[in-house]
Amino acid sequence: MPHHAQIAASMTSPEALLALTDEPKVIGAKKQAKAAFDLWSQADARYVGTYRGFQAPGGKGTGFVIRVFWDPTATTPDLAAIDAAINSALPVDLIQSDEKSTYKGRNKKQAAFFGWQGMSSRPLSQWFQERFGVGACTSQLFDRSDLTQNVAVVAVKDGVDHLWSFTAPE
Amino acid sequence: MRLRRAACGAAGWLLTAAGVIAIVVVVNGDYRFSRAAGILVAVCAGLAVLVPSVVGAAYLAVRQRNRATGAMPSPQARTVQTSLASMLDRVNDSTDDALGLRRVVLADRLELTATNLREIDDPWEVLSFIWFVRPSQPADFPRSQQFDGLPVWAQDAVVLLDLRRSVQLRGIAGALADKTGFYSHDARRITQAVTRTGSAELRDAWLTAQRADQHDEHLLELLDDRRVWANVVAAGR
Repeated sequence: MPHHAQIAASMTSPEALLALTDEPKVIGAKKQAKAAFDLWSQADARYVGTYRGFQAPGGKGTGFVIRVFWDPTATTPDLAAIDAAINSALPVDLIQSDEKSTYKGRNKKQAAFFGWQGMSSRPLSQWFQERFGVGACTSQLFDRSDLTQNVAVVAVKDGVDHLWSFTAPE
Repeated sequence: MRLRRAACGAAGWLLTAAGVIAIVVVVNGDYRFSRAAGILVAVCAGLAVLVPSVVGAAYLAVRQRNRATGAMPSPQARTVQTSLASMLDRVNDSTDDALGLRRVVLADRLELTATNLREIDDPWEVLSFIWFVRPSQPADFPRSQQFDGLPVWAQDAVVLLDLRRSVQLRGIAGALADKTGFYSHDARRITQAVTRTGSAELRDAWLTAQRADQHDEHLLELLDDRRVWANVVAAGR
């Protein structure tokens, strides 16, 4: 179990953010870290919470991953029920259309940090919010770590939520 | 158990190796099959393709028939469907869901119907089953035939568990204000279910919570109280 409060407390500079990301060596990561830090410090609402990746049906090649994130101080979702719902009740066309809009709406200038944005306005996230109290978005499975990361940093600014997920430091 | 699984795994590898060797031998050598061997190979290959598809088709047919008979198909018909489903699990696992039926089978298992509930003996288990599968039901579940087909005590359990969930997700005020949400039920229906638990404390907490000026934080605690649920469960025996 990652120490969310401890991670949140450590996020006091762009360098600290750079130390947390899974991709610190990406070209331009330093510049991205500065922008990410600005976003984090100017956010209207924010939390460091839990991230889980679930493999989802409907994809080609490596398949889809549904990125689920929530604030553990506010809710404790039933992960087995989420997994079951993804593989039965969640409509496949909803997953597919969410993958399209998630990919289209991503922030390319923030790929190593808050790359995913605008989840809360999309139907898939609302589907999860309504049933489980968690946010969600779909993407192609790029890397094994998409399924094993465990920390979600969410920053809301001007009504748009931004998601950055990574693996907690040991 | 572990030994058996290891033995199965080893046997599987041996068979695969034997198959590979056989293929290499056949491909490299200039063999002519005897007629009988040729037919045997053709039949085996045919069976390997056909059997999984036949199981899949049989499952869909039995499923169709069980649905057509209405709320309660006969126990035998259910048994046939469940056995076919567990055969399909193996097929789906070993073929990486080539038949595309994994979702169908899983969704059937997660359906909240009187028939599915009847297959679980322990009422406490039924409660956790309802809790687990409830988010996978269609959005109009509280107004659906499936819901009406449940025994009254199970309907009450759904209503109370839904109340518990929406209070947990949205807080008491949010849960009460939410008239069209996924877990929302008619206030009168909730009052009925609350009354039938026989817990005066829960009834008071619920009636207090409904008054806009007073929100009883005690409600969530009572909805987690095993004694309250004991009465709901007792009605199911």
